[in-house]
Amino acid sequence: MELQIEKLKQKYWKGKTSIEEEKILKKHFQNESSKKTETGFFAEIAKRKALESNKEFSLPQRKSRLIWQITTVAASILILITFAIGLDNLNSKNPYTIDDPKQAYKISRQALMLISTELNKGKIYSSEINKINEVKQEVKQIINK
Amino acid sequence: MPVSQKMYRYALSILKDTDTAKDVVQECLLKIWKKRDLLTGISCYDSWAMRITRNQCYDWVKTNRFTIADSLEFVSESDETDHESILNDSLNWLDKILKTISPKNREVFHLREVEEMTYQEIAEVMSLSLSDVKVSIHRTRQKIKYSFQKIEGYGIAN
Repeated sequence: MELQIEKLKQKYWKGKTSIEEEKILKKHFQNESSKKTETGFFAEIAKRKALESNKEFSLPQRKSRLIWQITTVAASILILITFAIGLDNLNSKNPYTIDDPKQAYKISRQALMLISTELNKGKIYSSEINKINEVKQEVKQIINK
Repeated sequence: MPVSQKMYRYALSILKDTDTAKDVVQECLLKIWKKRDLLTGISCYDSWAMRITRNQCYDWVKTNRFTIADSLEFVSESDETDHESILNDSLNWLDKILKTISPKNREVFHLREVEEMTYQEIAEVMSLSLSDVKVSIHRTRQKIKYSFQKIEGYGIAN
């Protein structure tokens, strides 16, 4: 065995070993302490091969097409239901009402007063326009004469 | 994913930083996921994944303006190894020897010795010719053997 290993070593340093032969060498020397020697070299290589990350690497999970389709349909239905409920709430919403008659009277009065005030403002403007029209008619008559 | 630890070791051998190597591998896995439709046409999945890892590492190096040779204090191949410093330095003795070879040869060394890839696979991963890979492996082994002979010659090997 030792002779075979020695031959393999010689072959190895010449770069003529196969992967399998190199595995035999590494296995043979794997329990050697990492001495700075030829044999320690193979132990060091074996140690490096055993090096692994503590992090688990993984590919993103592939979602099945069926699950994806079901999710899409479910989401669409949910959006439609939400929209329908929202629309229904909007339609059935009570208009603005006041239960107290005195309060209702007061607010109505205020509203009518506001309308009345605005109408009066309009009335002032319309009388001014009438005056302008009268002057205009007089000017026309003078011109016609 | 079985090849992911292999990818991690390869990225670590290039970048020499565990956190960066982890990030790079995660990005590689995302790339592989995006290219999953191509998987059926790939003959050697491991080589393909390792090639993606290599490209991602060099992209990272380029983006971060990081120099691989500088990070490992690369000494030109023709330089004699300072065997006293190899023995006295606290850094791993094999790393100290590997420092004296070029980044390309270091990569070939890693893929062959640690990942046990065939010459053909290494050539595919690194875009090299088969003879380049063979020459690289032979030279690196000769260099390592020479270093051992020197160390043993000093009679301080422990």
